[in-house]
Amino acid sequence: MLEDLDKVIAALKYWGLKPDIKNSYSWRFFIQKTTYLLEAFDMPISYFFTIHLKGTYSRQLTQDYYAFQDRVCLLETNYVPTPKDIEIFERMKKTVLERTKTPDDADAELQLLEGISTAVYLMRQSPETVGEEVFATIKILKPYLSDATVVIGLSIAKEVLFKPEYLTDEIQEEIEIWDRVDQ
Amino acid sequence: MMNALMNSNDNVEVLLETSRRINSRAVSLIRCLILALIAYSVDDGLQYRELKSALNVSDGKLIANLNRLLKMGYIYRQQVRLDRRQLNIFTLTDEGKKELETIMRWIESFQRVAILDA
Repeated sequence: MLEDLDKVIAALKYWGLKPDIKNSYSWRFFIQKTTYLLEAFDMPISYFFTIHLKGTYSRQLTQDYYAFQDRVCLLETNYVPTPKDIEIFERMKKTVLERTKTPDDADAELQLLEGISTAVYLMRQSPETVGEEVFATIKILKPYLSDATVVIGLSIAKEVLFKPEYLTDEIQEEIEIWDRVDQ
Repeated sequence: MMNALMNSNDNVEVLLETSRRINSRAVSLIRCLILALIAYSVDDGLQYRELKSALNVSDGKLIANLNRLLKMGYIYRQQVRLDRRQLNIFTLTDEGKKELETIMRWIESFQRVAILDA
């Protein structure tokens, strides 16, 4: 699984982060959620994730980052990101990382990440499920997440799962018409 | 016939022997569940709120059982400060890992006896 961990390290390195996983619970939490989201963005990562308890959570990933703590902290990786990976890192940065940054409230930031990754997981499991049902399931699984966190998480999750190929010329034209309405 | 009888007796002996090794104060449904759930999180540990939502029990019941396991030395509490908030993270101690293994062996021996007797 070192190859998968190397991909995660490559992403952290690209985002300019310095993950102190040896001493910081929040960094380990951050890596769990962002790795799942990278996979949801179609990054080829084979860690198996579960939703209950600490979801989204991968025991294999946990075992890997404990086994290679120095490698993660020093951002050592043999993986060279492809142009498609870079595109994913950028989308992840714009769609998730920049919007979860909460100054002076690290817990709120982690909870929002948890809300997004949980929503993405449930929506991928049952794509036909409507937003209200996903909201209700998250509130059962994670009652400690506030309503606002779940709603924002759901909204960002929809963007994470949106495939650019859905944006057909016809839809693009309609969006442009609506954009012009305000001008 | 004789072999099956011997095996059955051996299994009963193993069950009784493993039962003697168990700390009966750790073997309640909620305490076994707490130990197993914390073990699932490897060394990352579990937040109080994660345990509470998984077990769906009152704060009083959960705190009382966590305190008991802390006192027995099977888990330890780490307090993590995240800006404005403080989180309680629970992790298994080596003693806790050993006790959980003993409980698991006991359940296996229990199962072996029950299956043969069925």
